[in-house]
Amino acid sequence: MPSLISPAERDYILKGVECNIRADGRQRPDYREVILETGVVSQTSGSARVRIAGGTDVLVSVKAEIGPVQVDPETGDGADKGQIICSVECAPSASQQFEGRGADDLNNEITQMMSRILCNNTTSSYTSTAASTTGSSTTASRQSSGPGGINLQKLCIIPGQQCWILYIDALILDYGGNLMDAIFMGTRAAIFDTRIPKTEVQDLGDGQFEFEVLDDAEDTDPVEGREDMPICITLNKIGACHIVDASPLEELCTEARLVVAVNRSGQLCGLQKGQEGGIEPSLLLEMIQFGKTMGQTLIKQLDTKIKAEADADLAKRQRGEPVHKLGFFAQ
Amino acid sequence: MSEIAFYSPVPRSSNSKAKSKGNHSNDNDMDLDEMISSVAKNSSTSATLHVVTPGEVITTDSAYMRGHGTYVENEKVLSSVAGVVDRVNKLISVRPLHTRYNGEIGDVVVGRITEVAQKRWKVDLNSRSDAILMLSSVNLPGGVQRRKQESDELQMRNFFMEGDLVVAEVQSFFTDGAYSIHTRSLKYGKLRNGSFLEVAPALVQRCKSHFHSLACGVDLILGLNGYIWVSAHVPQNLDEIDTEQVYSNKNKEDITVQDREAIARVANCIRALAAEFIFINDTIISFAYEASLQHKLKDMTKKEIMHQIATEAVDAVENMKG
Amino acid sequence: MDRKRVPGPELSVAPLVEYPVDHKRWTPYGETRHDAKRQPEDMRPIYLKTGLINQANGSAYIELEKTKLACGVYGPRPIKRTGQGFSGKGVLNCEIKFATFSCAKRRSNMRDPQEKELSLIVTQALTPAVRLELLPKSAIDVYITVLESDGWGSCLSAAITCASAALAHAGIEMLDLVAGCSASYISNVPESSSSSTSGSSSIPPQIYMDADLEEEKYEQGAIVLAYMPSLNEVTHVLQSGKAESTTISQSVEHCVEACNKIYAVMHHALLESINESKNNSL
Repeated sequence: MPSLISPAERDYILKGVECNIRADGRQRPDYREVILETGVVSQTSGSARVRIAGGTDVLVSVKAEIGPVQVDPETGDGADKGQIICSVECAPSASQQFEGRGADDLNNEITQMMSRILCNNTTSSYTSTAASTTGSSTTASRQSSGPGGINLQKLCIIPGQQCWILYIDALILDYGGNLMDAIFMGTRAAIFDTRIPKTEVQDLGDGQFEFEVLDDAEDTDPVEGREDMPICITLNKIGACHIVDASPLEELCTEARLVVAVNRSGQLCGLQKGQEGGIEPSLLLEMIQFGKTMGQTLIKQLDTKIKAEADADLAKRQRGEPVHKLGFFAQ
Repeated sequence: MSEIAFYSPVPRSSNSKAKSKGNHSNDNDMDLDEMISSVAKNSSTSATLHVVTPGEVITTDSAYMRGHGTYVENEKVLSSVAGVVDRVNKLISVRPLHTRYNGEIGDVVVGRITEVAQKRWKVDLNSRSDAILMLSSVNLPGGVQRRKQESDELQMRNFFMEGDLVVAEVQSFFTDGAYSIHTRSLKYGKLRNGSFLEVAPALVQRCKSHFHSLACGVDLILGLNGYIWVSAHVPQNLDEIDTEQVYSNKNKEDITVQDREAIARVANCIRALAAEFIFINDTIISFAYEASLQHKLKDMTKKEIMHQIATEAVDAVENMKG
Repeated sequence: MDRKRVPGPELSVAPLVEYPVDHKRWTPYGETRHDAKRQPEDMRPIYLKTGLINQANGSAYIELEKTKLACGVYGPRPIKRTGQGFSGKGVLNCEIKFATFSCAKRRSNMRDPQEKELSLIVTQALTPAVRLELLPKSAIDVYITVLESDGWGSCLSAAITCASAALAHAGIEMLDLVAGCSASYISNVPESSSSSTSGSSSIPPQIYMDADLEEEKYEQGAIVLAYMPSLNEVTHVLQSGKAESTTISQSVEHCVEACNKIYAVMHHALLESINESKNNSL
């Protein structure tokens, strides 16, 4: 992860973006190739490893665990909902700069952004972490209107008591630019890979319930609402133009970064500016539009890839062949 | 709208890649026996290349002298690094494959200024310690040879700033092993008009010249430390260099779209060769460039095409040799 | 864990307040906004004053009815940690802290992740305006204390406005003032009735400028925008929740408009403080 760049390099990259030839020959809206594999970590409910050709390497794992529901003490909101908890960690092995506390700010920035986009309740990112606002009973009725897509009600086992908690953990193993997009691609792939065991709830009367987790590995549920999960596109403004999938050197030249989260129907699920520059309002609107179309294309292609892999695995399993994952013994 | 390509990973070693084309079901994990046999096969087929790992006995003949990367125990010469055995007469040394840059005096290197200190700059050379560029080892502006003054000391940042890229020559070593480098020649100095890339230092071989002008109108500096500078061609006439311009940060105005495309293409060719761990020199880069012309520039980031270009370039070099 | 203070119980609950029987909770489905006075595009009246903290090099206080923040600017002063290497630019460091009593639920004394993130957002929103290239080896510290919070959107935008005014008051060279503005998307149709017809997504939500806490409870999404009016540049944008892109474009335009109004208030407040000090010195 370079941290220094010379003025001449900066000027060369800036002018290159202007005339639509980037340092590695790509044009402004070109992505590098993405290498994706799901189901790479056996201990998880679902996992995916995403690599972008230049080096970015992200491992996303989803772990489904059972825990108590989190109820807002004032309004009773959240009693019938499961939870999603996101965390991002940059491994020190990925870059010297992530060593010690070096990655804390970056981890926090991405974690907060992920929570805001994926954890469903609209105000939840602010209520769940710090309770600056208190939810109201009406929020409970706005079930699937949150940006994250995942249906939290389906993750509830016994209302008011037990629910599934999905821990989405992203581990950055190598850095080659464009972390955010890679993390969201990985998250989508990992959620698609996730299988949640079925549960059986018994009513003991008196408002007492008991449940049993069925241990049949074949008969499991996918995460409901996963198709509506958003993906994000990071647009880097360099000069008067914007590029996608920036390389580390291009990120150093970036004046302003806009992260656009969008779902498959083209709704915007989050928007955040980063870095220390400004954007003219007209360009901002143009970038939002661009991010929206780009995101929809990305989702379509990503879903095709995920489905193809899932189908191939299923076919193998039906033929009775073992499903081998390449995992880390691959390039 | 551009397409985004998604791929599945492929197995890492090249011989299992060849197999995977035929039968995809059970080739993914090589078992240990297979691995050992394939290693043995490799070493037997390429008898000229002797690859060793740390602790491996290179020879039991006590007549040999130990060089870099080896040690002696019980009158046997053992390797202390993973790499290739070099034998010069009675001297045995092991050259590690993946290592940081180990320099020698006279090497042409490309470095990045990391710090401006008292009368000196610290320069990142991809070696184990930052190299030192003394203020007295650079050409001062306004006349090639003049004494340094106090005013020069105060405006060192006007010459080289943190982040600047320089091409220089290794001048000497300090007692702690740090390099002292100099730019006291007009071919050395600040780098402009191009882009920077990094390969493994072992891939750049010592040649007669490390400054090349390729036929496609691209200048190339192959730093022995694995840092490479690809830039637009600037006609060099050493007699008419404007000494005031040596430290300028401005790129030249007339870098055309064709220039940029050629630079990107050359840079991608080098990346393709480095990805396959092939020695990099101007000949093979020229061949790779020719091989790349049949592909669109933006496709050159794709792994498959990179592999194709590298293979074609290697074939072309072998054809030329015989 | 904060070992310096006596810890309270791990979980505590704010008491339930019984409203009188005839009290009706506000809902967005009626005619009016929460305070019954404002139109959807109206903001709350802003009170902004500079120069309230004597110790600081520059300071400002902002009040949007129940949202109250104070901000102090210290610097430019020499950068504390020198290990980071030379940089030709100064460093702007903003920190936002919620007072423990500022929200409905008591907040911790420690900096939580949300405060860290908001600090980063405020820094990113202000940096484009400050001429840091003129201040090598220096740091400017901006400390914002939230005394009373009435919705996070208005709180964040007020923090940006207030900090920018305080920076100007500290005499730090800036390209422009930065005004912050928030908007919420709130559906005017109750969920139950809309789901029975054609789904709520077909009806575009109403954009409420500068929503307060009660209104935020009904929001589908919100946007916070920081804007430099003279340079016509957006310095930060943060949107949460789900919305169609037309709603976003609309709200961006609304916010830019509102920022121009806020700019006038900031301009006025700064002029006033200059006049005041002029009169005092005479």
